[in-house]
Amino acid sequence: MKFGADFVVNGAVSIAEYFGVSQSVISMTIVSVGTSLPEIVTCIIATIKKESDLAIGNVIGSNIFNICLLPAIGAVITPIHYDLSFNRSLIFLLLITIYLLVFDLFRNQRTITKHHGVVFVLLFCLYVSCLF
Amino acid sequence: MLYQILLMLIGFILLIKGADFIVKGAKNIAQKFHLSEILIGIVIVGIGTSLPEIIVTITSTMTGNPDIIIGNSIGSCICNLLLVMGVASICNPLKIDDNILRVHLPVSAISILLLAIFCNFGAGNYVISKFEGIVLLIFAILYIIYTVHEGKEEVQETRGK
Repeated sequence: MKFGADFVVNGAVSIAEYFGVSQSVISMTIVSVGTSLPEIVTCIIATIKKESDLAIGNVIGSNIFNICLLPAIGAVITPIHYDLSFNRSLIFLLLITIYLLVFDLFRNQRTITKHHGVVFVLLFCLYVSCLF
Repeated sequence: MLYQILLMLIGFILLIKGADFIVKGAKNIAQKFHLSEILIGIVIVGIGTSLPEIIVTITSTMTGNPDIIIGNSIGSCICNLLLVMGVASICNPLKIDDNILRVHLPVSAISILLLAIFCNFGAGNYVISKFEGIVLLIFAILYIIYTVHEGKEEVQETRGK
């Protein structure tokens, strides 16, 4: 696992250098999709088995871990510098979370339908393309 | 360049396999010590799927690439919400249940705000200090304790029925 992490971090740094984009952009796209693969698999299996609350619970739970635990672990080892360019993404993330919170107020229903799913995926593509 | 991308792919595979291996090991140990299924389910599997992120975080701290930590943390969340939930709801509509709406989503919003405040207005110039790290860590641990508690109650309810 240690080698795996080394490969990923080194790869991210050198890909960022090669394409002339910042490390933060690479980490927000390639690294985060790669390290989220276990969540993706768990979530999709849970939905196919029709255990939808397990799927959403897994997503929201791992979000809380990602937001609290990762910066915490990093900062406890050594204080980490925060790049101001992350603020845009942080606000975007907050907006999506708030949208989900008020989701049922708008439409009197609590189901995320296929249409929403398509919009979510398109929004993700748009977000990634905005980053570059 | 191709070599680097290939190495990175191998890195992801190693990380995921490694996490899987640790989860299986932890499950075996937990069962030997007769720990409850809920504890195993929530804590070990929950943290297990986040293990790749955690290891990458530690490695990037050690090698002095702090941008990767925050980027990975925020990026993974956005990826989870939009891509994972998007694809999942295309496969099968997702229902947001009461507990998630009342507890987990607000907690998630609060944790994002907490991180934003620490990053922008905390001590020092745009630095997450050790103290702020510990506060975030305590927040995460409280959340774990809550979910375990919630899981226990759910099991008791279903047994009662």
